[in-house]
Amino acid sequence: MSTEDSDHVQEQLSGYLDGELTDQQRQQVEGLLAESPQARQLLAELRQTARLVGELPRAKAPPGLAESIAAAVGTGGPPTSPSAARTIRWPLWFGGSAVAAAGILLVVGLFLYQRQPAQLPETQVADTYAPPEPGQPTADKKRAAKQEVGEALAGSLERGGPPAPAPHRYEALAQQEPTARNAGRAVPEAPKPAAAEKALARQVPPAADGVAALRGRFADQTEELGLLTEGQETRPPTAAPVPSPPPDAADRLLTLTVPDAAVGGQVAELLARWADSNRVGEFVASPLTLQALDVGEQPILSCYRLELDEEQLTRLASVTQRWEGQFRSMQTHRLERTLSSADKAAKATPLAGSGEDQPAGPTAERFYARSGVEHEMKAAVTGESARGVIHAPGKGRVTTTQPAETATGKQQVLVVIRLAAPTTQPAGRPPREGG
Amino acid sequence: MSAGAPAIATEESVLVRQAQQGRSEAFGHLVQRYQDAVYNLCWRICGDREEARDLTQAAFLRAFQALGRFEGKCSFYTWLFRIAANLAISHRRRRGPLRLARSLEDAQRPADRVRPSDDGRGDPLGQVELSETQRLVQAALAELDDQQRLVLVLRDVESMGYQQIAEILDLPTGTVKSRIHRARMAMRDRLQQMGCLGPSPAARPKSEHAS
Repeated sequence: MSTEDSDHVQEQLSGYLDGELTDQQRQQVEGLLAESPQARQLLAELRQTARLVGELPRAKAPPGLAESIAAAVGTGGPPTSPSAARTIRWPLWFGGSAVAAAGILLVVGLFLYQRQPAQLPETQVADTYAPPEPGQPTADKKRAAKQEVGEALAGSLERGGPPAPAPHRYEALAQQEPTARNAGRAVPEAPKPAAAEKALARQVPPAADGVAALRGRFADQTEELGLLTEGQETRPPTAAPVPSPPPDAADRLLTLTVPDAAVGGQVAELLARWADSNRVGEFVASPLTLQALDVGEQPILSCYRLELDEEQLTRLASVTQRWEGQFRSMQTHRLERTLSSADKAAKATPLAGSGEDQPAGPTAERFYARSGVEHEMKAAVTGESARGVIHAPGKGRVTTTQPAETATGKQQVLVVIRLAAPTTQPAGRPPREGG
Repeated sequence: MSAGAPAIATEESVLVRQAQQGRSEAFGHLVQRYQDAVYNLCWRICGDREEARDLTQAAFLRAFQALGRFEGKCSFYTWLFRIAANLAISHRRRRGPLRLARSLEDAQRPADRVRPSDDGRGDPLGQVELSETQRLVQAALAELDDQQRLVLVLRDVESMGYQQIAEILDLPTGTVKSRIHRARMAMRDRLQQMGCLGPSPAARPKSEHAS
């Protein structure tokens, strides 16, 4: 490679670092990297530079700014009260117990199960975190709290009881009988213990061999939904219309233990979307929605509730496996669009069923917050071919719950996409690319 | 909905549509949702908290006034950032050099640490070291010209893709790419002079690349 060529290729190093090159450009850069220690050195320095800039603290808007803006534009202002945050279409039962001694713990246990005895309980997810407190290292605190509550949780599950008690509890009941709903009592049946669920899962004859294999595969995954909060005062939007639940939706009990009403409202809204989105392939919570919950090490990027046939499920499994641990570490909705050229072609077609909620403009913008895995998931469901670009290993998690058969004979799973706990990536290593 | 296709009903577009229909609380939600990001961008560009606050307010006000003309050709977030970036850059042109001292002072305020360290150095001891490094990084960033600082903030702080940055800056993607590279090279030179770039094992042959 001539010096001039080399200089030209060297200019692509930042694009390479950011995964923004065409295949041809990428190959050129890789050629340069293979033969030039200087280029490798520069790449490492650029990567370090990008990391250092990315680690700069982010300022939060000062208190009262939103109110000032509201006053300036003459709007009613942002939602500020917990009651506003809890304005969702199902009632919330708020038990404000005064367990604060252990600090602010957040336990999120999500129990989704269906009433029919012959049907498989979908999944159980639980995780615990503690936000940092002054005077104690954050990581240690989290670990300690996680262990403590984790043990309590494990103990209670062994006893066949619900998750360990924690500061506050939201019990949100979806599609409960009106009487129970109006009474504000959230628990028509006690959540089934994990052991019993697993036993039941083994007893239930799978719909087909492929599904059985998937059941086994997913059963070993940690089906957890980790939410960490530092008690931020952000409130979720509540203005988005929530559709009425379809008549065939199964009863669900969602039991959440959250640190305060604000977070409870956020989680409740998120779960409202889960519960109400009983259509095939509904995107149930945007990364933007979840931004309010993203203050920890494992921000959730998105959640999907999918109802699939066996073939779709198999394709989905291959997608989620391919992407496991393959995200770039980014903040919530800032996950950049990482689509291959094949995907770009697919963008020309609006998403079927996207409805009027989609912006009217070119479809490219619609994907700005979507990652490659989401695009591949869509393709898996529709049977199209699509390939996202994988940037960095060890940064993300795709958690798929155990498939559960619905009344319509479909397999229902929840897919939660989030960032993994950060891992240190060796300097000088180029980003990984799939495809 | 049509069979088998995921519906991507973004809340943002719903809120924007409601705001356009005159539902003021919907715009309030958008403010709530994006005020931190817009404020952070303005702060990074202008280096002053008070100015950043004013710029943020001005950006939202301008967005509100122009909401009727927003056609959804890009996301609201992108559109809002475009407004904020233009305001901040215009503001900077009218001002002198970046008020670095204030900016550095700001960086050390614990309240700003809303983002945990990416590499596990978030413990108190690590924080001290991190603060020192961040102070230097911030100083280096402040030395860049406004446009370079802007693209680096959008890219490396806000983690936006080139396409989105191109939409915000109304530039071709290729221009964004070269601008980011030049900005990063400039940052790298400064960080190197400051001794912030440690020795790297990069000279070793690269190992894997395909997944």
